[in-house]
Amino acid sequence: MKKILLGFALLALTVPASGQDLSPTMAPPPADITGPRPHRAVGITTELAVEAAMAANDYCAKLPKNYRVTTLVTDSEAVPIALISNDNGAQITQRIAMGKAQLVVKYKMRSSDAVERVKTDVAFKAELAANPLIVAARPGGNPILMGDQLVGTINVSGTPDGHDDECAMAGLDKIKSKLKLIR
Amino acid sequence: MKKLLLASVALMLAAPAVQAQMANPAPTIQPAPTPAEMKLPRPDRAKGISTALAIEAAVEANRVCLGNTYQTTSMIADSAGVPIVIISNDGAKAITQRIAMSKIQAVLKYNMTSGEVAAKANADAAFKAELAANPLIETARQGAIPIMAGGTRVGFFAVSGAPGGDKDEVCAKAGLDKIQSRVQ
Repeated sequence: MKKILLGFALLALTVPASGQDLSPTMAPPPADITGPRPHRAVGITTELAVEAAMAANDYCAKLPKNYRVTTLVTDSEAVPIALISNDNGAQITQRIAMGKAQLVVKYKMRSSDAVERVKTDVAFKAELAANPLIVAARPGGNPILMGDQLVGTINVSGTPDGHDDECAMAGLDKIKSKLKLIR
Repeated sequence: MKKLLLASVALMLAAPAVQAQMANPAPTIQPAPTPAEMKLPRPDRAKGISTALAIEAAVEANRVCLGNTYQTTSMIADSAGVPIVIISNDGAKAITQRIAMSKIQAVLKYNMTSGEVAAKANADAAFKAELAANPLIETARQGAIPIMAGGTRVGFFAVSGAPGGDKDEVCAKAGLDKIQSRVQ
């Protein structure tokens, strides 16, 4: 009986963190949707975005630990074009990936470079922490560039031991020779 | 000159809303997890359909809508409403991802299609007020349907971007039809 009680206590402790009590991944709908509705910003085509996201997920899944990750490909303003969460991916990964995309768009840098920079730049670290869209520098977010122009971002979240960036780059490699702009 | 001034004033009045949207679009996805959230256990996604099926269905829904000349975003979520796949077609508006999510939230909460939620809101002022008070839904809009396996709800399928939720729903249903026999 004691064991059962303990089990219930444990269950009660862990439940709030799972399932429906999590805040939803997507932001609430806009309060006023009668205004103008801008197109997505400059970005790559949907077809390429899906291809890159699938390639990144596949690459991660084929690593020795078979990581199940979420890949988010956005336009140049961090609006999602393709978000693909692999089977059994952890459900926090969509939001983590979005934080990386926000960092890449705002600072025009790889999030892994930001990780390096916060090690020596306290003010930069504090600035990220004060931005609720970013919070912290986490590797795995990368700009998609055509020449010097930022045309999108590719972001991976879901490997607990530092392979997100490698998977994102694998996704980018798959499409970088055929980038095509669209608005 | 007077007309020009008037026009300028009108433009200035209209501009802030437009600029606010263009320059700093609200993020489609919620803010990044806080350090405290990062330390919590990380549950897997809830029961849902496979990623491969979700991609196939989303692509099909966008294809059907495009065939009707509508550029849309399709979203498929697991049974807890967490997105598995979002595919926003070329030319879709940047607001459609968030609208799709609000449709899914309506299905999730009321266990009927978002079109049925909208119909109920039209006939029931109290219900309409309840939706308006819920920041995740606000307004019921047709275009999201549950994904069922036998009698169990295993996910959600939303489309946004067509001029009218009825037209969105056509595409969501077409996308689901393509995979329904393989949904477990």
